[in-house]
Amino acid sequence: MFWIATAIFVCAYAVIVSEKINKTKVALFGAALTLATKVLTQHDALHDVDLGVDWNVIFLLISMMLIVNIMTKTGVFQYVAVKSAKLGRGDPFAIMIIFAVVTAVASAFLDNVTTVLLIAPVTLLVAKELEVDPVPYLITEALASNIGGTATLIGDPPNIMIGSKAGLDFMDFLVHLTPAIILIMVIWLLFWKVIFGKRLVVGEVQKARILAMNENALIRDPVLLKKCCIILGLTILGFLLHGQLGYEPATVALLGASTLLLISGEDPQKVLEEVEWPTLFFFMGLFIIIGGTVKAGLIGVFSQKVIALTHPTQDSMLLLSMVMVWFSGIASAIVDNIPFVATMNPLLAELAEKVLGPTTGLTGPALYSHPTMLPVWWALSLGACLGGNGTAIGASANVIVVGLAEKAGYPITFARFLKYGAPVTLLTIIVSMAYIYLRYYVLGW
Amino acid sequence: MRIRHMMRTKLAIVGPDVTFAELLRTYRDMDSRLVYVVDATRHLLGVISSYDLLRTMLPFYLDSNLAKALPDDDAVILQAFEACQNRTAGEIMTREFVAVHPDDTFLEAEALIAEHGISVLPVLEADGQLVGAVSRRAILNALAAQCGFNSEA
Repeated sequence: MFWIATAIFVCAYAVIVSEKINKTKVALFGAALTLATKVLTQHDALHDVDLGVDWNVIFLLISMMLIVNIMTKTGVFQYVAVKSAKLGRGDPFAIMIIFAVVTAVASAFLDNVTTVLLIAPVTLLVAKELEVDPVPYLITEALASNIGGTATLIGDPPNIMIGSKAGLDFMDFLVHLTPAIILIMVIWLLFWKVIFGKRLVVGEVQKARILAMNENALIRDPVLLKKCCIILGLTILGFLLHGQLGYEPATVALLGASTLLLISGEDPQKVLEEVEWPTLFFFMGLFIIIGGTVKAGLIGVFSQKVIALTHPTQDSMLLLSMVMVWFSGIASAIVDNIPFVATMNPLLAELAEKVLGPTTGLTGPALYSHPTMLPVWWALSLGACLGGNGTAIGASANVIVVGLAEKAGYPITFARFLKYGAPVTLLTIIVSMAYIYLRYYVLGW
Repeated sequence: MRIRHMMRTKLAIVGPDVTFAELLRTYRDMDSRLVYVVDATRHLLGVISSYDLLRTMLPFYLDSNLAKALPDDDAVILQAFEACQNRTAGEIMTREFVAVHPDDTFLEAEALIAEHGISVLPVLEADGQLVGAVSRRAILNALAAQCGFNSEA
C-alpha cells in the first residue's frame, strides 16, 4: 500500500511539473488510481476531511468565482482600472504604482488570475495610449497579485487550504499576514521606484490621452452593481465575523454567492458555466492523491524527517519556521503552489501531532493552531504564495500575463520575467523571514 | 444543379504578401464578401472577411465596453491603423475554410452554408485550385428559380 501510494504521488507530481499533460487530467487519473488500488476507500475520499476532498476549500472557491463572475458583468473592474490610470494624471510611473496597489488589494479578495485578467486589458490599452512598453506593467501586476493574494484567507488558494486545515479564520490572517504584506508592498514599491522612477517618461500629448478617457461610460449595469456591492460588503463582513459566529468561510461565501445569484436576475446556466471547473477538479484530484499518501504513511515519514532536521519543540519552532519560508518559496517557484501546500498541510498536521500532541492533549484544528505552530503556518503561506513570483511559470497569474502579453504582440521570454521576478521573490522572502523572526521570536506578539 | 453552373468566377484575389492597407482598399473597391489569398498557381491559402479586417485593426483587449471609454476622434482609429497597416494577408487570413468542388450539388452547398453559418463558399478543384465562389445569395436565387420564382430581369 505504501509503495502504491508513493508511486502514484511521485508520478503525478512528475507529470504535473513536466507540463506534458494537462494537470487536471493527471490529478483526476491519479485520484481514480488511488481509489482503484484501494489505497483509499471512496468513503475516505469523499467524506473524510483529513484523507479526502476538503469541501470547505472547494465551495469557498466556487462561491467566490460566482460572485466575481456576476460582478464582472457590471463593468466595475474596467471602471476602477481606468479611474486609477486617470488618478495617476497620466504619469507612467504613478500609473504603474497605482495599478500595482489596485491589483494587490483586489487580489486580496478575488482570485489572482481573475484579477490580472480584469486589469491586463485596461493596462494594455493604457500602455498603448501612453506609447510605452506594456511588459513592465503586466509583470508588475502579476507580482502584485501574488503578493496581495497572500494578505487574506480568501486571497490565494494556498491560504484557503491552510486556513481550512489549521482551523485559522479570516481575522487570524488579517492580524498575522496582512501587516507582513503591507510591509512587503511598501518595500517592493520603493525598490520599483529606484528601478522605474526615472526610466518611464512620456509627453504631454500621451498624458492628455489618458485624461480624455471616460471611465463613467464603463458601468454597464448600475442596478446590478449596487446589488453586487451590497452582497460583497456583507460577505466580507461575514468573513470578518465567521470565526466568532462559528461558521466555516465556505458557508459565508456560499450565502453571499447564492443570494447574489438569486437577486441578480442572471441565468445560472451561464454564470455556472464560467466557474473554473478544471481548477476545482484539479483540487479534488490532488486532495485524494495526497490523502492516499497520508493514509499509507508516506507523509508520516516525511514529517519524521522534518522533525529530525529542524528539532521543533513544544515551545519554539524557530528553525522550522525559517526553513519553511525558504523551502516553500523555492519549491513554489518550481512546482505549482497548490499541490505543494496540499502536501505540506498534512505533513505539518502530523508534525504538530508528534511534537505537541502528547503534552498538550489537544487534537485537530485546536492542536494545529497552537501558538507554537502558528508561525510555521504563516511561513508556509508567505513562502508558497510569494515564491510563485520567481519565474514565469511559478504562479497561474504569471502564466496568464505572459499569455496575454504575447497575444498583444509583446512576447515575454522566460529570462525577462526572471529578471523582474527573481529579485522581487528574493526581497519579499527576506522581508517575510525577518517579519516572522522579529514578530514571533523576538517581540513575541 | 451543379455548383459549376451557379458560381461566380470574378473574385477578389490577392497574394499572401499584400499589406493590410492594400487589403482595405481592395475590400472597399469590390462587391464580394471575401478576399481570397492564393499562391502563384492560384491555390487557395486562406480567406479574409470584413470580420478578419476589423479584428486585426482592433486589439483583442479592446472589448465593446472598454471602447466606450475612448474619446470619439480620428486619432484613436488612425493609431490603430498605423499599428497594423504593414501586416500581411498571410498573417491575417483565416486558414480554416469550408469549400466545395465544381461538381458538387447545390444542395450540398446549401447544407454546408446552413451548418457553418457562413456567407460564401470558395469553389476549389480537387488539387486546391480556386475556380470560383458561391454565395448564400446565389444559392437563394437558385432555390427561388427552382421553386418557380423567375427573375423579373
